[in-house]
Amino acid sequence: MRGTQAGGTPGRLRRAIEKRLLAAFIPGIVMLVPALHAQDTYPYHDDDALSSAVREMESRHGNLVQVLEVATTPGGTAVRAVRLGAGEGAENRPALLVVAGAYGPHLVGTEVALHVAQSLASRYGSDSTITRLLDRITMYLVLSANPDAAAAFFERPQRERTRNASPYDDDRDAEVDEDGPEDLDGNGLITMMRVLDPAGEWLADPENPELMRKADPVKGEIGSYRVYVEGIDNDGDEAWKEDPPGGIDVNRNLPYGYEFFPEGAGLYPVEAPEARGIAQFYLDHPNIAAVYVLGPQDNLLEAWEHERERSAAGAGEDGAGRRRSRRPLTSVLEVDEPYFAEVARTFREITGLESGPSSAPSSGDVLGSAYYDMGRWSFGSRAWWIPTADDDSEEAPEAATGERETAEEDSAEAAEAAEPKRSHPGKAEKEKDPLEIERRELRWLRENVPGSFVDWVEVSHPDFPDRTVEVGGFAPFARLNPPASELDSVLARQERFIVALAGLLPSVTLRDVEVESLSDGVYRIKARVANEGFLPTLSGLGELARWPRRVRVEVVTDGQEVASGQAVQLLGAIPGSGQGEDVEWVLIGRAGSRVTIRASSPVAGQSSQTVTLR
Amino acid sequence: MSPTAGRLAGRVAAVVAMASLAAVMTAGPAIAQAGALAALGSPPDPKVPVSWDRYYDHAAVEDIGRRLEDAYPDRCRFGSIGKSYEGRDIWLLTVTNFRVGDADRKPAMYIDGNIHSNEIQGQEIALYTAWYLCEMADRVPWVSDLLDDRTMYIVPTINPDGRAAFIDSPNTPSSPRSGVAPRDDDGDGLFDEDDLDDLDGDGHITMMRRKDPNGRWLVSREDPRLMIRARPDEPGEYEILGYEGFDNDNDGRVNEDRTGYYDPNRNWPWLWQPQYVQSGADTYPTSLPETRAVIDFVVNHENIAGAQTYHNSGGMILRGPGQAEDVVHPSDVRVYDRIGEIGETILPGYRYMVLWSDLYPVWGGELDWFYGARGILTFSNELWTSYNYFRTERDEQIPDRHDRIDYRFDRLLLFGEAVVPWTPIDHPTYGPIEVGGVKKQYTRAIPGFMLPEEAHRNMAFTLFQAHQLPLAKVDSIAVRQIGQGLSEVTAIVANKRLAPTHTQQDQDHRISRPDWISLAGGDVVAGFVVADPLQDIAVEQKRRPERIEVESIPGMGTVTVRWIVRGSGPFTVTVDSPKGGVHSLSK
Repeated sequence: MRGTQAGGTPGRLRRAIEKRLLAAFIPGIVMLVPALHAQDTYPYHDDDALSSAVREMESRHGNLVQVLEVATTPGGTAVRAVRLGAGEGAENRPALLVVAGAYGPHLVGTEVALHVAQSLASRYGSDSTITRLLDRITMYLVLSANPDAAAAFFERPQRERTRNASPYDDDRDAEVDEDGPEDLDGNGLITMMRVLDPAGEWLADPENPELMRKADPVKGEIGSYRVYVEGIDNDGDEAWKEDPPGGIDVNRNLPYGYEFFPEGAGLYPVEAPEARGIAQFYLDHPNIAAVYVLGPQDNLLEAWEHERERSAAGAGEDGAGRRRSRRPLTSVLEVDEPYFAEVARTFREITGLESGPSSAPSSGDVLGSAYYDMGRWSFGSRAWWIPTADDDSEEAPEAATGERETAEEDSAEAAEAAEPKRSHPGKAEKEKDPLEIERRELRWLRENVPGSFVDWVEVSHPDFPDRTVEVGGFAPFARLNPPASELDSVLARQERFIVALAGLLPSVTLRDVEVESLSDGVYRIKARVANEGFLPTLSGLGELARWPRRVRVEVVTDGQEVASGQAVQLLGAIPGSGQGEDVEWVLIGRAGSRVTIRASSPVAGQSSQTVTLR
Repeated sequence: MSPTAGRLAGRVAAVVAMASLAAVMTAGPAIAQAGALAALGSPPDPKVPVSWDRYYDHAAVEDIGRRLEDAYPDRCRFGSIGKSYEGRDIWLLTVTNFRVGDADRKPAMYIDGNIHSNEIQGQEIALYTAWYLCEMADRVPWVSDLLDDRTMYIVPTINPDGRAAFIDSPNTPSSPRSGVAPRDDDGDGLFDEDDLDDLDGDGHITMMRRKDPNGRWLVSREDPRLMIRARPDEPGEYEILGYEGFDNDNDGRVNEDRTGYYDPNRNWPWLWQPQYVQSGADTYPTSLPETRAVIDFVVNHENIAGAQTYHNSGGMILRGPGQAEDVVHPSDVRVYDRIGEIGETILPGYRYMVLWSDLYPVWGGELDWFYGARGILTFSNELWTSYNYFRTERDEQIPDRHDRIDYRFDRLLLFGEAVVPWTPIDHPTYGPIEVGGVKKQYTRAIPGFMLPEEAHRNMAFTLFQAHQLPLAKVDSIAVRQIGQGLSEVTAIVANKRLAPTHTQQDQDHRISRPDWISLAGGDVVAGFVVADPLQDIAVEQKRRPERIEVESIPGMGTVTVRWIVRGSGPFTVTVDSPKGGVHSLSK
């Protein structure tokens, strides 16, 4: 249910909350944990720092850098795209779109996008590779697609937030955003809360008692804890943190695979201005040939595959002989599969990353939409994950994608129930101990990032006066974002790949233009329209979809008559690596007169030649 | 019960209902205007005279709306739900008794029309409804009761740009179906550059034919204006070259990038699919400002419990789902079925149908969004049916291949006005050809003399639905003193109509908040829902016991709630239902 007012907590209720909070802040022990955002551990840019970095780029590289508005968030923050492209004509060159930060807690994506923009801007003019690249292609970088959510990293208490600032009544009680988390142990972080209770379904992991897992009654295990997000039941409904501030998760609000009704989905796809801004961006910039999404969804470690049975897109009849419409696509088209595989191979080669946690799509994510809705070549990477050296990592569960146990779920149980339903069309997940990855992550974080796991500490809790309540767990953001010691290598790897990906965009060229005289006044013109880039001028899906444009080939006559062939024709996908398609016309005209042949595509550039009939 | 028996039973019930209704109507004063005996069903002396035998444009709708508001300030408010792509207001008439209750809290019926630009009469039906209700509430008690209990949100056209394009430009009966936001249909980077062209300048887009001994078309023996297809082994004498137009952009194709082209009724977010799955889907769900204006309005008016979106043509009373894998829950189907049955009685020649299985599958349609995303019971009437030409069913219609029912009706009742006779012109590519055929006001739009009846019958169907929206009332309160200064207060809350206060779809997805039943007049110690009134089994609600929450009050059903209260009254019980209204009773 959409909220009708921001800060909809009535004064009476607010006073009650304050009273209860006071009661809560007599914690048994006060732990002092180094604040996770400390600039030396996580030197990340908040929105002010991003804005000034962008302004500086703009003023220093005015001929190359332009800032485009994508949307204004419900919180009033601008979503911007930095455009890199030399001089005039940037909108008419093949383009790569980079989208970062649609999943709010994924701060590292924003750092990558900003770094790449700054680095390429400063290399342009001095580094010949980059100069040639940005003379030929355009790059749009959406630095932070969900800044309302990202801001939670820089606020106290710090909590992972996926949703923008639109008010929303999650629990349908006609009160809006009235039950968010509280920092009960006063350490500036929202973590988890466990309540000792024989009726609880959770137990402490025997191997690592600081980690919690569900008791398995089939194995005779007995639970001893209830697990919640840190906080108080502010509205007295015996649900904890079930209506936190915020409305829509931008990375759940795009059309492809969108699911109605889950928390964070909003009321309908593309409702969030940020999501709408992204969808509209493709239409306003038809030159976007490929998209690179920095976020929890990956298709570069494990490339998207075509699955025959699942993509039976086609009209048919049901059992009763009734007409059935075409079905939605559930995997990539067969013709596109090898390109996804090859770009993924390139990614692994350039970055040296061979394996990592697999990633499930979330319903309505930006990566899926870029391909399935918009028909673009689409690639995604998490950019960083906790290196768990002794594993071969294919089995990383969704826990590590950040989809689980965000501070926004009302309880760990609900968090588990809310796991994405749509399974990744990839390798089958092996049956594993679900805590194996968490244990390794814990080990790594303990060694490398002090304070990134908060040891359980007892607090007194007004909702559970007779029970032992402890607060602790992974610090927000720690499992998804690299500390300073890792950041530079992440940025360098990502920059290498993004530059390489930009070099793969299609590039159309007219070749072998010939005039053949059939008799005086009658001429045959032949040409080959070739694609010298790597990616085809359209993905297979782009050919199916209506909006991505084909290569337009035209013969511009000067009084001659076109006797065969069309004066204007549109060519479907032209494969890359120099392959092409032949075109020809028969013209009736005077000897010595001239005609121009032109081939152009927003996603592949243009090429023209003028010939004399003789 | 067999479908036929069910339908028959429905008709009998409807006839009975109509009979009692008629009794109420005739009980009113039989006003005779000077020189005239008032006919029933029409206002004898309307404060806002409107002729219902024509199709009004944007300015005229505004004029009628403002005149209604001026004449009936307590009954009609005129406004707008937003702006179209070209900046026109999307007009809204809110019709209710503004002196009784809060208009935005009464159970409401949402009505729109004309989502497809060429399907224009939906607007007239909707507008007629507003006009009739305003003009007749003082004469017909049933109407006046309806306006006391219900609010009607009437949006005559949700596609004012497309309507203007249809009215103001030469068109066929089917062009444009799209709205007018430019789209590059042929992928050449140009937008709407090869539209239809009125070659003979007569204001109509008709067909082009060229004499050709090898053609496959013949002139009808019955009506020289009508072309018929030659049999497979029969020589023809003409070829048909499509709708009037030429190759405006010299790409070798004619009329291939027209005004628009998308389908506004495939742009809705419920089960939306892109163009390669659903033709007309447009770029992304809610890409059109008109779609978003309606969605915002509906989301912000939680009292909307029923909806009707008028289309043409075919004589159908459609409900969802638009796809086999989508679900309309059985308990909601029962409500739909009952209203649909009555509809077939009110609308002779119309059939009650399920969209995906009886017509065609649709991804991203408006009516599916209303039900799927908002839990609102929604019909879409396909206005006008060929049954209306001669009041004959399809299989009794003209068997002769040399005639067509619409041409016959035109000859016999419109005296040839509906068809442009063949006229010779010179075509830039095709040379000497002829143009002629059906005018845009014919075959889908309704001839003027029949429009008022079509409007009235469809209005009656939609008012029947409005009448059957949920209506929550505190039916009775029983107070029992139980000693120690305590009272036990038991209240029965009834829903007096067919539709539940929350459809099953609404309940399953927690779309609108629960109904609240609250007690005032004492300190509530404990509150209960009496889950089984016969066995008197009560279930406690611990949180906020003074405001009992119930998920729904079933159609024609009740819920029983109880409180233990410190105090002896008097007590006031209030039911506050998002879609069933607000009502209080004291004891």
